[in-house]
Amino acid sequence: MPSIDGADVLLSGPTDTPFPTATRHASSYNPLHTFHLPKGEQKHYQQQFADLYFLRLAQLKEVVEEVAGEDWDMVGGEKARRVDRVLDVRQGELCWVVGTVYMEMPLKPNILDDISKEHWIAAPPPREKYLSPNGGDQKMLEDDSGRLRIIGEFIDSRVLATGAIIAALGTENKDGAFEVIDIKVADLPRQPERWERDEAELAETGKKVKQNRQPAGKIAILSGLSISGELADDLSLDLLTEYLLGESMSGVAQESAAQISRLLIAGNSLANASPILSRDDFAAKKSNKKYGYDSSAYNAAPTEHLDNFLSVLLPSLPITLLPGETDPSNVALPQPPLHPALFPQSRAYANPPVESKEKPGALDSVTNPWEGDIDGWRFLVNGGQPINDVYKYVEGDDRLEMMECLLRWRSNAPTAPDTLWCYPFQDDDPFLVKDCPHVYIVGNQPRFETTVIEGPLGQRVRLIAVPSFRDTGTMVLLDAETLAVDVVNFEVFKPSKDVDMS
Amino acid sequence: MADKAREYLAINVLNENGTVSYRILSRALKVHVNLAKQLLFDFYHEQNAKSSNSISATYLITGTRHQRDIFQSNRIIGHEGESGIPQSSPFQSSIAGQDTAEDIMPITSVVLAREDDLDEVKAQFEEIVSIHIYSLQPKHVQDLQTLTDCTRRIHVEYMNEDPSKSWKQYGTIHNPNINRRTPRMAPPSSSISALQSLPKSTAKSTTNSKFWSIEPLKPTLKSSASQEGALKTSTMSGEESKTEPRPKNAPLPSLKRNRSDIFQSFAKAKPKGTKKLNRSPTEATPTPEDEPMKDASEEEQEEDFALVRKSAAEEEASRKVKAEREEHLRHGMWNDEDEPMSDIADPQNNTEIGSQEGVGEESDTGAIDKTTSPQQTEKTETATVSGGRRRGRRRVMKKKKVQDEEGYLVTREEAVWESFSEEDVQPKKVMLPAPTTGTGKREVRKVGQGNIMSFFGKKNRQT
Repeated sequence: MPSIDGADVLLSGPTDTPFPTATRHASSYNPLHTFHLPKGEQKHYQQQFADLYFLRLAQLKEVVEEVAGEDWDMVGGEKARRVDRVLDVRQGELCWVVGTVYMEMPLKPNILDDISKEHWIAAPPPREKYLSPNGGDQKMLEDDSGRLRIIGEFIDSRVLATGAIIAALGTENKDGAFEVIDIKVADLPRQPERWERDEAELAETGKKVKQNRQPAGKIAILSGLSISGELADDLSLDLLTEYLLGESMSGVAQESAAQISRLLIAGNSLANASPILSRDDFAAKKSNKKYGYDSSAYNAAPTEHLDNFLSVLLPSLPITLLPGETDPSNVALPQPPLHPALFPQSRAYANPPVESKEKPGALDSVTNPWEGDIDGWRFLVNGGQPINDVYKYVEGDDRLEMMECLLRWRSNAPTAPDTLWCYPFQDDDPFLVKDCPHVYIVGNQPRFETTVIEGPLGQRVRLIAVPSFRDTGTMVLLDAETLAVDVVNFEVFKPSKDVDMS
Repeated sequence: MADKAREYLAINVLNENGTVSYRILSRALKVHVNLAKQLLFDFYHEQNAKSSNSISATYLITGTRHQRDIFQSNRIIGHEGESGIPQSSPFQSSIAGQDTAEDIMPITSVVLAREDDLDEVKAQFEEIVSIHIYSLQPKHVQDLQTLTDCTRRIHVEYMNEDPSKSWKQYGTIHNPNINRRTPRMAPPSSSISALQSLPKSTAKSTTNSKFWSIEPLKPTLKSSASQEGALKTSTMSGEESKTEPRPKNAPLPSLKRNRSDIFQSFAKAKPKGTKKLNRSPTEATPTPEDEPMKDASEEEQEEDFALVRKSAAEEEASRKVKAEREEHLRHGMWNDEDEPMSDIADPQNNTEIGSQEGVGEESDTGAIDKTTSPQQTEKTETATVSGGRRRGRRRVMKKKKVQDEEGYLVTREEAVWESFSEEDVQPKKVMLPAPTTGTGKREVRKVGQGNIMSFFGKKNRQT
């Protein structure tokens, strides 16, 4: 175990040499407000979700047709006909059609089943996958005219989930199913240049556009802190805090911590703040309800711990905080920002809600998903729910592949509203990816993974799957100049005799 | 410095068997964290030279580590430049397989280890960037989780330090770009002093009540507790009369967060509307009501919204009070009846007692008494006599029959606060003086009666 010079400088008695204090790199931060829900009176939940599918298809159909039209003009010397609606497909004719994928899966939760079985059966446990082992699944292509069953080896080999907009090329066989030989998706949209938005804003205000920018630092990415308020889960969190503050370690390591210019927390900061109880638990809970205020019903410790954690970091490090599945926010995507009232100490560093769209403070509590510009790059971040839901539709566990598919389908949450709860949007589908991000981050994944994908126009997107800190002790560091990724792992060592050595 | 450190460590580690981390040492001595790490090292070697193995240390090691040692059960992939949609993916179980072939990324690892494990941990590292003593503790302490207490202590004991100034002292990474919002008005030096003058507290509550002032939770509990006594002994009349003439610009009651005292929330929310209704215009003379302004609601505004810096001792007190309060709440609110809500004379109860004991009370007062509350079995009452009017609220016990889980009928007494206005009791008040003014004997009786009443009133509550 070779050590670098000065690694053990602090393993000595006190010296007179003064210690330097580092100054943190500045963070250029310009969030977007794409996923803010309508406020107050304008927010309704009575609408039908059908509009969401219609909007998605209407907005993407043109794009997909353009992509498919270029490639499928002539297929193997045969002219492929474009068909407008899925029900217009004729038997034995090579044609292609654009529609929304719908996965018919017996194991998928079904609201009609739920209602009919409500009174006589306990709810089935939530499934890890919706895939039926004996092949009861069907894939469909649907548009406003109807549905068409799609089959074929090609389809089976591709990652598909409900809500993806695809163009399928093939022929209808005698059973009425559409045998697919190729599919096309919208692929990555236009990618803004680095600093594009910041420069546009500068140009609008009439300032000098080309500025001398400081070299950007690093961005620390965390998810799944899962603070529960129990004492035992704090120690690696302490190590993390001290690392980010630059108080632990020495010399070179402390200086490298000063390069971290922003902390991004991608969901699940609290362990389980708003669990949705099963019917039995709910009944059990209700029976011992006390009259009046029941102090045992609410435990403030988790939020207090989170507030402490944030408020210790904030004087030194700006933080962007996304809610996640277990955080006290809405369950339906997009989740609104965690309310600052949860953070009596930290909110001193945040903007009041009324001013939240102005220049953000050091603590920016944002929506999930969220997009915005950090150090000029466009970031698209979510707390992991869309990927964790798509995971149930597909074979395997390749999170990066799922992330890539979502971007290429241009949808942040394709499975919403089918199996993923979301707000019933009426006029616009904000989940459509309109600008290709430079960095796509998904929190609360089983393990750390990263890759770079490329688009047809030379877009390069860094994909990062961030694991839960509670489970892995992993923090991801993204270099904001090169978009290279580092990993820092925090661990309290347990002697090997305590660990199962299997 | 070294002497001070030695003294501090000797007291805390050797005598009190506590755990001292470099951070708490640096806070206690107000020195740079790196110096604190060296002081720990110094002390550790000094002590173990004197008597071996008297104290043990934990080390924090930072560096690059062999990856299979980190992710024994987690797969890490770092492939670059992959493009195009992979055609298929092999089936895998959700539990990731052990797959270390693809580990090509450098992973920085920060590991906290006991001194016994130090060599084993060091052997796992490819390159060590930094190593230092993290904490010292008595030999027998095996659970590293006790270290979290240090962080908690720092947070509690040193929370008053301004992080925008202390960074230099402790060597925290400084960020010049971060501003902490300050409340629009300067915070009061002490919530209690602020209470003493009306204009000050009023002004402050209005400016600070924008949801957005900053204050830690604990001072809130603390200050409410410290004032609790005052609240209880101060007459309800004071509290009552002052909630009424709320300044126009004062925040609405709904904005208040009465999280500190369940009784206050009960007591205050209800009567407001009725009182205002019952107020006839002739009575609405702006009399002494407005004055001393130890306003209960204002107090709460203060408590909730003022930025109060507390000393460590006060913090300690606050924690105790908080624990007590929690205990209290757990007991349930019914047990709280013993608590004296106010020390003022309780005319209703007292007249009842008076008539029972046959003191020769006029029959008409008794009659009035009965008509006011026919269905109530017991009441406690707080009333205000100000400006010749009485109003207030009382707690009445109401019987409630409920069927419980096993199907038994359970009769429960529940305390309910209800407000009453002068119409209900005013006649009594008016009637009382009329006959008594006649003779000197009665005059004396009346005075004495008041005292006796309060005596019985108290006794009643104790039983």
